Amino acid sequence: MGLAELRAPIESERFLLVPLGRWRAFRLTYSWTKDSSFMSSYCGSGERRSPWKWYREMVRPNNRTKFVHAIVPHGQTRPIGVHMMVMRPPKSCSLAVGIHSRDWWGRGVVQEVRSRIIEHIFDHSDVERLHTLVMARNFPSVFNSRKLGFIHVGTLHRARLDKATGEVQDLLLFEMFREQWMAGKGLADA
Amino acid sequence: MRERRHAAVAGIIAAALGCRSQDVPDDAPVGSLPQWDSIAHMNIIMAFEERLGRQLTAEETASLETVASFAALLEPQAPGRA
Repeated sequence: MGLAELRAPIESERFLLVPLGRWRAFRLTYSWTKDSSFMSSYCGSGERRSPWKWYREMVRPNNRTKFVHAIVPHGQTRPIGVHMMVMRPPKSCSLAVGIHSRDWWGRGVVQEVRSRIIEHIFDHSDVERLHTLVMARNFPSVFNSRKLGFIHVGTLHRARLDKATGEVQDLLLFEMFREQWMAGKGLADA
Repeated sequence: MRERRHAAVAGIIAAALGCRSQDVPDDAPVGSLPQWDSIAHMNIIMAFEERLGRQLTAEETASLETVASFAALLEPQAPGRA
């Protein structure tokens, strides 16, 4: 268990997950901020952002406690999305993901990437609790969270305003503890 | 009545998944059928909302664990029902 392992690229069946530095994360994701419908499901708001506003808003990786992994299909160089993890005391980690390439929607990317990332976190850190906030109308994300074994533990009502559409959304809080993941993994392996 | 509700739900899910209603058992967990991926799940919920004539609440969306839990939303005492 150590930082070097935690910082290492991660490989899954179809993807290489490459930890990005701050500047590369910004350069990659800023181009996506012009895609309003993607940003609505990714960040809850599809309004246009200036470079500075996006820099302030995005997860700025330090590759110690905050990571942004580019999701790169094997045999390709262009990332199709990013996965973020932010570790905070006490032994907690929040997760978020955005798949920008429509060609990969509905192809199990989130399931594959996130399960590999969760394994990586539990193998190489002392994190005990994972959580993720999902917009209630983002049904694919709700599906993915549940299927991975996350449990719905609370709802934040009328918590997010999409400035592009004026729509106000509820957020669902999902969490999972290390022992729950291990138990689920045991069942899958059995 | 319960059978009728299940048949209605199985019909909606089968149509979204492109399979037969008989292949959608009452106790099937969400995502357990091969065609039931995240996009199919979205299509199922949207078709279900159309049938209900309203949007599901956040809690209802999060509570959908099995085919039976969809059917439960059609019960007269289900939250959001008049």
